Amino acid sequence: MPLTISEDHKAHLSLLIPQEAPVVGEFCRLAIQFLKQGVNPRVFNSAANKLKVQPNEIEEAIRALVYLLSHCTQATASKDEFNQLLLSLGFSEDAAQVLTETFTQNEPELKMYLKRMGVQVPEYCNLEWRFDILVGSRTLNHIAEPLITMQLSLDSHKSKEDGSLQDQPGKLLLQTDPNNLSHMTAVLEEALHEARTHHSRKIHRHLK
Amino acid sequence: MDLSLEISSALRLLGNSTNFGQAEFKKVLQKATDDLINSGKVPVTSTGSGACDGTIARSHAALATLFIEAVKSNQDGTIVTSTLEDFNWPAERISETVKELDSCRERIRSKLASVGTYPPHIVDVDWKLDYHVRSSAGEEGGGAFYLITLHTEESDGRRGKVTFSCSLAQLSHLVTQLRQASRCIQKYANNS
Repeated sequence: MPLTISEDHKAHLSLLIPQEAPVVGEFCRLAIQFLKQGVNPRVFNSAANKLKVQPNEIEEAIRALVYLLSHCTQATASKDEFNQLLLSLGFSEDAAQVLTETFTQNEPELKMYLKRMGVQVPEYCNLEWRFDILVGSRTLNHIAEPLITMQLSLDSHKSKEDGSLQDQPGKLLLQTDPNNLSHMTAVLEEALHEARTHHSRKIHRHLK
Repeated sequence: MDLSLEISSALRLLGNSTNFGQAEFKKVLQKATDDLINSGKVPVTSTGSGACDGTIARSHAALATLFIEAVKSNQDGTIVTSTLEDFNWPAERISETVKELDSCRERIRSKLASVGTYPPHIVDVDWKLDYHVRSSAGEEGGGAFYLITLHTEESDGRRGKVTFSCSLAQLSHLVTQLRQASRCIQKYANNS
């Protein structure tokens, strides 16, 4: 896929283009930090003071850099293609070198970032269960009802508002009774069998 | 049976044949029973006997309370009978009341059981097996994934859904946990 950058994007990157390699390296570090932890205004302010520009221009430049890196990861660009693109944008050789290094070294982080920005469904982490007997309640005394209480841990992989990772999986409290438990087990065992059928294996082999 | 002063006095009144004629008594009994079974929202209307001071509403409430207390504490007819005898009820009314109580005991019981809060109760499971081929984020060949939906019922009767995805290995883990729970229950059921 040919790598293209929009005009707006080029404008945002224009702050970075004339800079020296060490400064570009510093920006790369900030961009990777942004990927992992999100916005950090203090850092922007200090960088803005050093370069004598507004903090929001710094923020824009960093976001543009992050977008450039993630866009090229998405397009599965090779190292050379990325380098070519940088040179065509007007970056100096050294700066392009630094950026390409950042690109290749941080590939896993960029892939994780993209995954977070994509289609998200909560993912199963764990299920804890507990067998209880309900003995009484406010409205009904003298009961003996078997119950299963379950804690389902789901990892939603969702970013918090500032783009950083959500660390704790969400935990859901659920309950069921023995009949529904055996029904659930039977249905999910059937689901497991489906993956082992001939049809499913054929598709798996075909798409590998 | 432990009943408050208000309820007791209303019940005494209800049992009194001079205040409440047989027809009126039957009406109140019927209405109380129907309301408990169906959670009727129609208010008790006066039968036009001239007693417009809320006697009928009070007696309706008292009878309903009597029934609920009896079912809640799982007390059989004898205790109810002795309680009503203490309120000087005629034997005929007592036997009618106890008969009504026995006929709707199970339904009142299930109504009482559904009142209260409990965590979402799983009632059904749906599953789907997908193969992730490619995504807009550039991800390729994710492999086979299950999309599981648990249908739940909440305390106020609403239905909810919990959806999550899992890989084949994760689903095996989940099914193992569920089988463990089932075996544990079987063991207790067989032992007792």
